[in-house]
Amino acid sequence: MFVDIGYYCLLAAIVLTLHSIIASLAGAGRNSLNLIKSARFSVVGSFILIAVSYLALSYAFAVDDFSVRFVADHSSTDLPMFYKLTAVWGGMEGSLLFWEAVLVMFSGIVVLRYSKSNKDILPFVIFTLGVISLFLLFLLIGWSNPFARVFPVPLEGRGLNPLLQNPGMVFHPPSLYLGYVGYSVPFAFAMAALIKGKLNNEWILTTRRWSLFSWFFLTAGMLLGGEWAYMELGWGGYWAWDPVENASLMPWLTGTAFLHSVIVQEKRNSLKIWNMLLIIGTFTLSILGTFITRSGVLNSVHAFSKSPIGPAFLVFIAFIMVVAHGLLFYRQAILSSKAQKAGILSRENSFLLNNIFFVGMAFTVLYGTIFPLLAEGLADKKISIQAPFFNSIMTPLAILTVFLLGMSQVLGWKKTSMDMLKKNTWVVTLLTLIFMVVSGFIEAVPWQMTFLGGMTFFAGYLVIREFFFSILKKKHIDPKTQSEKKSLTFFKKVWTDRRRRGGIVIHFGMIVFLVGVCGNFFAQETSFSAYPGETTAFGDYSMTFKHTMQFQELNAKRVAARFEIKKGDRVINTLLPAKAYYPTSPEPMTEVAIHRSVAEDLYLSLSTINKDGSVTVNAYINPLINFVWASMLFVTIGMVFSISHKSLQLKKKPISTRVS
Amino acid sequence: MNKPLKYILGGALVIAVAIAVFTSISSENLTYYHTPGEVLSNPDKFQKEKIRVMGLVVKDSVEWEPKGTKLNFRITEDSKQFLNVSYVGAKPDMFKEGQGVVIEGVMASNENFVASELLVKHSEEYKTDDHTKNKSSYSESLKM
Repeated sequence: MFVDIGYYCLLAAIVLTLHSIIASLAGAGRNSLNLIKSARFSVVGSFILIAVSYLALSYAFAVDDFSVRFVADHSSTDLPMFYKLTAVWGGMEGSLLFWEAVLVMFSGIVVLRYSKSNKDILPFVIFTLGVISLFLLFLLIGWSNPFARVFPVPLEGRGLNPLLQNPGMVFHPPSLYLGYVGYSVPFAFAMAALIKGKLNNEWILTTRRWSLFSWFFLTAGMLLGGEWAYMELGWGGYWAWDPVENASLMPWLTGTAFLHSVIVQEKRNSLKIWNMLLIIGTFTLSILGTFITRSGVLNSVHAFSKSPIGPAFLVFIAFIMVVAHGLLFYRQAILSSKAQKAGILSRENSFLLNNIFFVGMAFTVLYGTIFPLLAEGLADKKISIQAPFFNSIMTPLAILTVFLLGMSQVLGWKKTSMDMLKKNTWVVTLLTLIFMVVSGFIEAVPWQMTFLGGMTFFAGYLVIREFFFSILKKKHIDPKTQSEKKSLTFFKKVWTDRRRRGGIVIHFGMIVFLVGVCGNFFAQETSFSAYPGETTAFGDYSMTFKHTMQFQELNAKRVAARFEIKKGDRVINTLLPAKAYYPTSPEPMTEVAIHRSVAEDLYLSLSTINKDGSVTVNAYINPLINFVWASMLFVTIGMVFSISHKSLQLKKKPISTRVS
Repeated sequence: MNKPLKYILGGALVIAVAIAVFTSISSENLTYYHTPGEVLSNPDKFQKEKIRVMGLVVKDSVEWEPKGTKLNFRITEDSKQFLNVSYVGAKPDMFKEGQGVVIEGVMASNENFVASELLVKHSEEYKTDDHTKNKSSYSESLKM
């Protein structure tokens, strides 16, 4: 019953979406406010319909309605309710419905929030968002229908993949989708600006918060995904240049470039075409990311062509690329901006270089991800591009980017005097050189680590210095009145100029992340077998295997090996690496056990319980890895600062129009 | 020269250079997939070059020695030619007879393949039944 309602809601949403597309265009053409208003109503209406549809699917999961194929394939009665509700995005059909639900929710917010402030381009925003939504709805009612029935109705579902039964997996996909879908809003505004030919900075200022929001959720999604991989996959790491991982990294890289380059347009009125290209690229890569993770193209290129979902995505991606670039070409005359002269040593140039590096990295990842697929599809050659390829290109680019991160803290807009630069950086340059000489020659660590570590130190020093300098400086300009404010308390000082402060804190988060990445170079691993009572030494630890034990945890039975961990003579922990047997899964899953400390993790993953009573274990020491997760905290704090800042030019607008 | 043309030429140049750099770097890092038959027909060729071989683990061929974590097994693709593989390290999850595996390494002189990496091929689509489906199709192909 509810399931049917869910499906009919999708059908009705198609009608409303078609109406919003046509009415918004017609309304803009005839300058009819009523038509545009009706388009806005349709957008809100389709949001309500899709929300009902999403709830209907969740309900089917909650009550174990296995007559729905998608539910039968991804759930089972033994599953805890929490995982039943999150299994909705455990497969392709449900994920696409989630995507669509988020998209129409954002569209709803856009039509309600910007109906007055952006009324001349809003119809085209509705149009663009409507076209994207229509594409997904067509997939959802046909080839990828989450409400499709199965007959005869199975008594029990196939169960959710045990790998997905982890809290990290619950928040990781929605977070990524919020990021992916979020970029459709700046994209829609960019397209609207192109269609209307109103190519001032309006679209950039209006969507600044959306870009930040999307970037934040992409970042959070990737970190959560990394944490999930670390806990569940049992190979001791969190990133392996897997195509699924690369799929989220690509829009993140171009999205990061976009965040920086729009500031240049805002402040200096240049890079207009470049910003258009970046947002088109970022949105396309977001769609490509969904496609790569959800179309099955990774399994085998040949299996992919059996389902029409993959080709449908490719056609849609091609359609976006052609239309968006066509529009851009058509409007290029209006977009070409008078270049304002800037000195070589200027913040805009550091941003420009940063953009080149980020786009270069995105291109590298794209190439490494797509090339094996193309080679298989076109030449029928199976090849694999592995971590060394990515590392050999990404590491030097990352080193240069981190150097720029530091430099941009001390470079000003337009130009920076050489004397000023020398004064601000000679201490840190000297310290960095000492650091690099010590690590490169005396400690003889790999050159990548020497440079990455050195640049991280360099940038970290300058970011922290900038944070305190900008708070402690005597003058504070009130952004509202442009007058000088004095005698602020420390906390008030931190809160003023939030945009700049937020940027600094987020960059500090990146430094913390990089410290964690540097730890990779010192990771150790081993695998060993031990009989009960046997002690194995590894790093500073000695690990004594006591005995195996069994216990129940949620819906899984665990068989664990009990290890007593000693550092020196002191017992510091007891670890229980285990195999977990899920009722619906024929294979046991590996459940790792970790002794965490600030300096390093000791990570045990149980490989085999042997017939002779011994156990085989993979052990890893991961130095500084907790810095990777800790970076999330700073990124979040920084984001609160940045997003709470409202664009000045937008706020001032009513006043300036009154004056003119 | 007019402006669009300049951009197109510039863009083309950048892309050409990038592709040249990538192909030169990636040809060092590319690993080609081979079948056990290809390797066995020309074992000398693969003694220096690191390759990846895909195949199914042959029934009753797995020898696991916990002490020293040594794993020996045979793989095949067509049930006619069998490649002996030796690997040192823990047994990966889901490694068992009839399972598709990918090994990476070099041929030793005694017709043994020394794997430095051992991956179990399992599907990316997160569906539990795929394993059983794959398994049955693998065992069917083994019978043939």
